[in-house]
Amino acid sequence: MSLIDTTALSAALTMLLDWHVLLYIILGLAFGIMLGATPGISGTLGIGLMLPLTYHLETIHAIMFLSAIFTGSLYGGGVTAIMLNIPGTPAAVATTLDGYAMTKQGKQNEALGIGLGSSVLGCLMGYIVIFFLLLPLGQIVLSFGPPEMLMLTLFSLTVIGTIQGDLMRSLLVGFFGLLLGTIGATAFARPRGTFGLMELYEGIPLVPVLIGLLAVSELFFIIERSYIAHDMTTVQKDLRAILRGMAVPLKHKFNLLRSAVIGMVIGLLPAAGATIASLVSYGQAHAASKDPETFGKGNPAGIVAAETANNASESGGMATMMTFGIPGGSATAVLMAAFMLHGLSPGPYLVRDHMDLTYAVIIGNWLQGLLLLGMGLAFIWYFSKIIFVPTRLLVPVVALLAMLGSLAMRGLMIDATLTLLFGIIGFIMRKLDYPTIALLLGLILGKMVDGEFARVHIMFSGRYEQLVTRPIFLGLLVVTIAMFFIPFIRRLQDKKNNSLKASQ
Amino acid sequence: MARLVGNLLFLSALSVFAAIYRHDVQRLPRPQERIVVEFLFVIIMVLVALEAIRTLFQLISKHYPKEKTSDPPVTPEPQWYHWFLGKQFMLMLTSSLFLFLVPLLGFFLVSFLFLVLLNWYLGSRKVLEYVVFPVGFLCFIYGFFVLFLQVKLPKGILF
Repeated sequence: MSLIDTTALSAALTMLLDWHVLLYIILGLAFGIMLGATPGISGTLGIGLMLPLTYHLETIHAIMFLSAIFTGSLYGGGVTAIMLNIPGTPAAVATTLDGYAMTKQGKQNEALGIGLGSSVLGCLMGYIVIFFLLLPLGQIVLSFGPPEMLMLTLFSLTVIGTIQGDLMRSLLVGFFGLLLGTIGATAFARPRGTFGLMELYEGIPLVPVLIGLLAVSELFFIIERSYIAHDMTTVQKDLRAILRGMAVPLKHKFNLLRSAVIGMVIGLLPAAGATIASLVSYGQAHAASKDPETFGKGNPAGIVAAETANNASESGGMATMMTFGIPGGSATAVLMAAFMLHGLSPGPYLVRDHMDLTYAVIIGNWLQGLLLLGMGLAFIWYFSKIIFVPTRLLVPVVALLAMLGSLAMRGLMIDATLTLLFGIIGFIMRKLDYPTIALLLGLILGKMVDGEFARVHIMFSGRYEQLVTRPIFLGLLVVTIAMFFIPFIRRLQDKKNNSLKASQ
Repeated sequence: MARLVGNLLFLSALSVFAAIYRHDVQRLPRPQERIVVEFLFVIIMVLVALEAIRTLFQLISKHYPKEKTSDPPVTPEPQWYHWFLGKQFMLMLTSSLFLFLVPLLGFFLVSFLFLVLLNWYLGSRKVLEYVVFPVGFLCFIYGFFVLFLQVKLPKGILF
């Protein structure tokens, strides 16, 4: 049986040979990049906001416009992560680790170029695989139940072990983050750890914590300097550095390929999404690296891994949504609503009855990846100039944007208060050499661990032995245990090597 | 020394929060609602104990060094209260005031005052920098967030 339906494919190409499609993609990408780069404002909000406006558009125009917002926002989140240590979305948290470190070294143009190149390649590679293997890959979704999702989340937790610094301190704040992640309603809808604050019923909101721990805590250090970069004489000023950076992912072929596969496969799984994809990918790049000690200090491989995976995850999410009608995250849920608004119901019937449109969406997204290259380049060329803004102007604006980003999310003052509170906590942690990123990762994953654990407990209570009969669960369990011990073994080896060198 | 004492205080704060949270979940009726918190509490307390022991050892070894060495002359550390006169404290203070005043005076007025005062404190002396720039920036926020994205920002007694 052929994997490609050629009749549907030619109909899809005819659909896309319309200049309106190009126009809507360009508009969607521009809007998405802007939203993604704005802290607290997600692509989901943009898609939701534009949804009613697309009602009178042709189906393909509407879907292309809205999915371009999704693509643009995923990329835009990485730009502020690199320039200001503010991940526009949680999916860009892993990008801050090496991206912002490069900016502080004055290599912001190269870092932005690496981010753009990796995002585009991740998007293109993901959609190529989905184009050929849409249906077989979709089956993966069906083999992932709560036990496998629990193990996948625990697996992504192993990235904490890769964070630079003292391992015991990383673990301590990582577990504390997990504890904070359990705050909120339990699986039985009772409030837990909210201490009477109903605003915390849905848990500690992620965006204020993310902005506080990374951006606001950084402001306390930037404010002591005149510019973001430590040495302004070495700051990259030319476009060539961006172009050079865009070619860097091609030098990390294996890392690029692995990250794209990780991103796409994790993107296929409902509720896992871009954040888990980028964290797992970053952890794997660190584990496979010959110089893991440079990760977190401005290693380009870290940006390649994080940005490729989070953009490749979009293709997986779209595939699951179109083949099974299961939205992987909030953005795909709103996109699904867009399909329905135009009389199409995502799921097996969409693939059976409208294969031409399914192909058009996949090829159109591929086109978005190509256009992102040009549009992203123009955007980062201007955005990179932020490094030349003196901190006396930058700090008040970023502080205000941080508060605004938190307020914009739910319109609650507690979110802005949490931003400042976590900013101060992050500042204290950094003064005492505790990695703030470990606390953040714990918090992000704590919510998921808690939810999946409750589901597993309800499903398998009293018969946990059945879990080991599930091959994917078992495989992930073994790999997770191995990944937890790799950092310990590596650090012991390093100590041994250092003491040997010292004795010689 | 101050760093090590700070670390002990930080560890105490973590363990106190974890203990209060663990105590709070005891009122939940189902074990599956408590088990994750209890499990994490145990791990955190073990790690806190290990880190505290390590810090205490470092404190003791600093206090009672094994061998007296001729240390190079040390430049005196700034007194702790100097921090309250610095930029970091000022950022903390103005941000806290911002949060306190926004519900009373509204987002835009307080933001304007925040930008002007902080810009001026950090060294901006040109009107273009500490007045015109904040006004332009707030106009952009109003246009993009309030008019276009229809984000509801807190309104106070004035605006």
